[in-house]
Amino acid sequence: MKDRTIANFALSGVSVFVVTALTFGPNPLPASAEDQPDTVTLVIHANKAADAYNQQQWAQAKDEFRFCIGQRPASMEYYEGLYNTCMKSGEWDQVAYALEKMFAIDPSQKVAHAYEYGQALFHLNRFDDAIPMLKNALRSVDLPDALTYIPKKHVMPVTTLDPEQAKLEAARVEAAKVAAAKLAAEKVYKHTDLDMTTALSYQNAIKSECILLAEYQGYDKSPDIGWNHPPQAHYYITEILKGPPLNKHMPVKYEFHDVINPTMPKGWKFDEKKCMPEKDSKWIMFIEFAVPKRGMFEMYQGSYGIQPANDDNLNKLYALLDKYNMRNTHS
Amino acid sequence: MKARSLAILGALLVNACGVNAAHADTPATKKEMIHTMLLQIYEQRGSKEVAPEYLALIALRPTDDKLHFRYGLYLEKAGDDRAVTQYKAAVNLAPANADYQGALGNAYYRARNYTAAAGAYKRAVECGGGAKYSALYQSMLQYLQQARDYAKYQKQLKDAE
Repeated sequence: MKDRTIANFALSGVSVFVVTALTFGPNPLPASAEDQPDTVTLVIHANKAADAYNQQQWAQAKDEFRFCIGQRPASMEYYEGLYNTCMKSGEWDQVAYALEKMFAIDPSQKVAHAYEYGQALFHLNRFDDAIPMLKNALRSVDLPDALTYIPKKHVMPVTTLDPEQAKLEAARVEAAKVAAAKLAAEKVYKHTDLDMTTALSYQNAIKSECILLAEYQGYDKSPDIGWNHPPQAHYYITEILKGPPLNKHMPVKYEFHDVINPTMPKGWKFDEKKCMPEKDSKWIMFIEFAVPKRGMFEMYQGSYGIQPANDDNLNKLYALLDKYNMRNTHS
Repeated sequence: MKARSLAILGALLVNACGVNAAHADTPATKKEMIHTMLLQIYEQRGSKEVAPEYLALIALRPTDDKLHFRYGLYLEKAGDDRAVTQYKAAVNLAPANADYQGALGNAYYRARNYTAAAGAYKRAVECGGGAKYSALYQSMLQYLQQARDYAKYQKQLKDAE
């Protein structure tokens, strides 16, 4: 919302000084989900994303926003950036993905973005979902439009508070959280979308930025491998069904569990034969963000993101990709 | 620092003036888009809600001849006589369009208004739709002649009695 306000200010020449003042002013103390101060890496990529967006280089802006989302998945502003960028480039699956994440973070966004979400659902052939959303949008068409530019972040470190001030600030943030929780409890929200974003299903997995077929090649052996210390596995990409082109040799963080069920079974012990796939076996890989972290690609919902490429799974996947117009044109 | 401020101020001004409005739609445009999308969905599904969507779009774009024509086609397919009204509106907005004139002729024909149908077919032929509508026009003229002859014959029979 702060960004939107700045963008609206920027539309009138008179208020440019206000924009400048806000751009160079001290970093406002973050509230809610964005509690941590921005790292320098994040700020650099956020600024690259803003630059690319403002220069209408949608592909680069998308990549940068996706990187930022990978770094800060609970932060609304990067999803908003991704949504704005992909609205411009017409990548409707990404628009829907970003908006669904935004709605999960702040359900009130659903009213403000009903039009854009309805449009995205329409283009994805999700007509049953699109109809109520478009009807809702008719009631809110007079709300302000989406961002026309994205302001850059300033590379200024957050001022460190002295211990007394920090205590007061922590108390203020805590009180704000309690108030927000109370407010949220009073409102009746439908949580279907929120549930959908975490459920382990192909319906959700296809929202990943990248979906591909790959053959397992091997893994990096290490004595530290454990339930929560996954090895780096190596796959060879045979086909990219959705998403950007990647190097054929793909390093993967090979998780032994999905995100929803992280508890280690009793007696579990790493055994190469039981825990790792057969060499040259074929797999469907769902990569939520096509940006490697610490040199490895992370799969959608941990181990769920790697599915056997058998006929049933492939048919299910192709049907969904075709249903929602998501397949790369060349695949 | 001052130079950097000025550079960014300049960049902001450029951005503020050269607004890319690809999805910064006006409320009116948004309404049109929404009704167009809903219409497309309902048409694909053969839903009854097609008609209200057409009416909503016509209210937003009353001078869109194509829209009147498409709504006319929809009504004609549904066997609704109100198709004539929509075709008439399309013809009024684009009188030189042979397809609109021909469609009006077809609608009149279905409503058994043969004289008006012949007139519409004639105009369709005059507007360059000869290949499509001249046969219909000729057969309509023949039919009208036969109808006149039959009426004359009936009158003669009545007079003879």
